[in-house]
Amino acid sequence: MATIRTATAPAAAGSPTATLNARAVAALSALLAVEHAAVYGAASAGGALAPLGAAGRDARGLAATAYTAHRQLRDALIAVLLGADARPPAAQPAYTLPVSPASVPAALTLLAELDDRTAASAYDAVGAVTGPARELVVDALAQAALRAQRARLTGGVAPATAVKELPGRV
Amino acid sequence: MGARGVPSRRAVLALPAAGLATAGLVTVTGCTGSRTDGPAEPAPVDLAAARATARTEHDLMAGYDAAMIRHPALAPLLGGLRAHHAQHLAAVAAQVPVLAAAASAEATRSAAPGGSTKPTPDVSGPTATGTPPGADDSPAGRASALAELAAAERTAADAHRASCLAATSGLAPLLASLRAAESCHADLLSIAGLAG
Repeated sequence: MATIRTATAPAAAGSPTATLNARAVAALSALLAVEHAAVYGAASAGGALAPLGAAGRDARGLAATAYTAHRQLRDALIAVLLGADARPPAAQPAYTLPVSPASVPAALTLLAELDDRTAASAYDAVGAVTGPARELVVDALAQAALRAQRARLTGGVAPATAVKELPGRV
Repeated sequence: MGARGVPSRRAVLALPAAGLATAGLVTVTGCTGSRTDGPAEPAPVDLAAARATARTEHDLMAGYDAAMIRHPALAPLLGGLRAHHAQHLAAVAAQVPVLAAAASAEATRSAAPGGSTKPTPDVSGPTATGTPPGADDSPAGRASALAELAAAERTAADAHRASCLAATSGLAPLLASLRAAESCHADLLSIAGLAG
């Protein structure tokens, strides 16, 4: 599929010359596992929102953005791991969603939760990697935090509550 | 914020059946308890990053204080974000103890986390007695103040990102989180400016 370049995929991230120690491989693999689940979850949210008409328009936009972003991060992580001769974990055939996206508010809650998990896992990976791989996870953390915040705001959460003081950490 | 161990957030979405290598991955993601509070002797690069970060957070707080004095109606939003910056400063100081003295002095000055000592919300308009002379508390003035703060947050986010990329594994995660936080603040301020 055509890839859309964003800051989540720095050109050097997939450099075949990259070397990763065991801790880095474990942290990036853990984040990749979260991304596999996030791709699934964002697709589920989008599918649940698809027939909900105008009421779900904004949420559908967020779901589509999240789906694209999680796929890009997934692919970037796979490129980094393959580039270091590590074996990236594959996706599961299905995941149990933390929230069933049966309504617009529930879908937004799901999207926020998925991105909070990405932020937390990216936070955990920051200290394990250096160089382009650190850039990748640092930018992934910021972008996930932004998407989670927008999902909360769209869901009617007050601005003071939608913003987290330390994304990924609290 | 020091209370770690939020396994649900870190766990991969509940996996069907006992999955292959994923069990090992979940174990890996769960090992957040090993995060240290920082060495007593920070690496020079971390000390420099922590000092720069503390300065940035101080400057942001000063910017919020000034904006809240000029625009009391914005205090509910700005007070909460300013409190985040006080917490950011405390988090950096907790990790780089050399900075702790400076941070505790600041914490004393800004005693109430919710900003209760800050100007209270005042919707009575530009002629309110609390508004300093010369301050433009018109809607345009407020929008301009929000835009300025958003720009300052973006600049801070970029600085935190650069510091994070240079920092050791001990301080880098916190700096990455601060970068994300300031990006989120900037987004929130931009949205408030558009709505305002």
